[in-house]
Amino acid sequence: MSYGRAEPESKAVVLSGKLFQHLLAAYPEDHRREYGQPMAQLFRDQCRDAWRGGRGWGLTRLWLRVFPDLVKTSVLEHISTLKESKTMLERISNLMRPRSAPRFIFIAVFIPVFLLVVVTCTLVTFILPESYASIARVKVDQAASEVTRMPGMPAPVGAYDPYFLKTQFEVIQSEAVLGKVIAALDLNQAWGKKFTGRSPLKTPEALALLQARMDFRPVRGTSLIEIRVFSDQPAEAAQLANAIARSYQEYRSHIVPAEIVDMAVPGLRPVRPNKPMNITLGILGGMLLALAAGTGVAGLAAWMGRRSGGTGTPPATGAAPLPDFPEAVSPCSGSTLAPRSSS
Amino acid sequence: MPPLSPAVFHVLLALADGERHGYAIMQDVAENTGGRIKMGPGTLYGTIKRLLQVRIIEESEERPDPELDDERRRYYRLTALGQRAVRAEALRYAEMAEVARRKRLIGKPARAAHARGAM
Repeated sequence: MSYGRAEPESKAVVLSGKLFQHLLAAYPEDHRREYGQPMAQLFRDQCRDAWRGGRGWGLTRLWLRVFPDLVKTSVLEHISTLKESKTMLERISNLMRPRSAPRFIFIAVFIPVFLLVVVTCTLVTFILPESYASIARVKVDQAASEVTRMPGMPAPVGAYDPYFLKTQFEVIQSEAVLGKVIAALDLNQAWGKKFTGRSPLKTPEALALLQARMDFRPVRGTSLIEIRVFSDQPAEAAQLANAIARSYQEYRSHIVPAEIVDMAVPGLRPVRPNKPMNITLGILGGMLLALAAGTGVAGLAAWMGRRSGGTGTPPATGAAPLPDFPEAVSPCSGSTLAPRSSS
Repeated sequence: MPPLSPAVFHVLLALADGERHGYAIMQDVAENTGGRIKMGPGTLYGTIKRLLQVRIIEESEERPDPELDDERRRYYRLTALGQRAVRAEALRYAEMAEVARRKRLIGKPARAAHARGAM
């Protein structure tokens, strides 16, 4: 039987082992002192097997199996410890400090849940593909023929006209403008190779992809429109934003010429995912979730402890009800399992 | 007296061949159940703790050669009571299987195994 000591351990295995060792704090002190070391050793062995079997995914599956087991059995061990108080004095002392065990269970649940949420959130944040944004600014003047006229009201020439801007946003997203961008940059071919790996895209497909990467915003108090384009490549984002601005300028050339006031430049840092915000949200969400889980489990444990506190029944366990063999009777044969020498 | 839980029975079956440490028990259980039961450290050592308490199993005093294995591993073995218990539980299962066979719910062991393999 091999225990994997010969080969160097991966960082993930070592980290998992250390994290599990910390999580053992969820168990009662006596149980931890007696079985903490073999449990940690068993988990490290399982980690090595999981890593050999499926690398990161194998470890993830192991954690998904072991973590609920740890939460469940730690709670059951605490309940079992409470019930194992043999003397009346111990029972009274347990009753006198009813909050100590629930508080411990709360901490034991809170810490792993919080860590799980924060670690998952952080991992997802770093796994998500990065996206860069580039912005081109275009000055658009409204022609007299484009003024929105309300019945009985004078034409608001030169004033802020939200209908006009919304119309322009739709125009920029139209095939009349974006079709020329797709043709000029040969996006059918380039994106076909990039996204499907072989055949070129059809123009409606490239159009839909381009529209999904665009965002518009009016600059408050001006007649400027920001055309923002997202891409996993900073240079591509800038190239697309500039091409869209130019195509829109050409479209407007026979109405009232639009002026490109700021050309897009490649972004230096990715704008998505917003790592600090995601991690902050993960911490806040983790705290809320851990608070709810900790309160729920501690409350449940306290209720179960009170409910069965005076019955004198054997402690419930993770998987092993107390096997009282000497009195066991086979249902079929009626044979007793009591030792023959004693009967 | 309720019958043994499957987890306890599997741990006892794993120890029926001789003394084993926790990891070997866990592997044996997984192998015997075709991977259906994979015990976590919490469940396994919770079970071991309670089996030790009722003296169904005991910790082996002997430690293996450190060259061959990690000497910190704890080895467990069935006590005489444990051997009787696992035998009696196996008998209970066999008797129940016999009842099921008489009622034609299952075939003979070989046929049943063959049928399982065909599924």
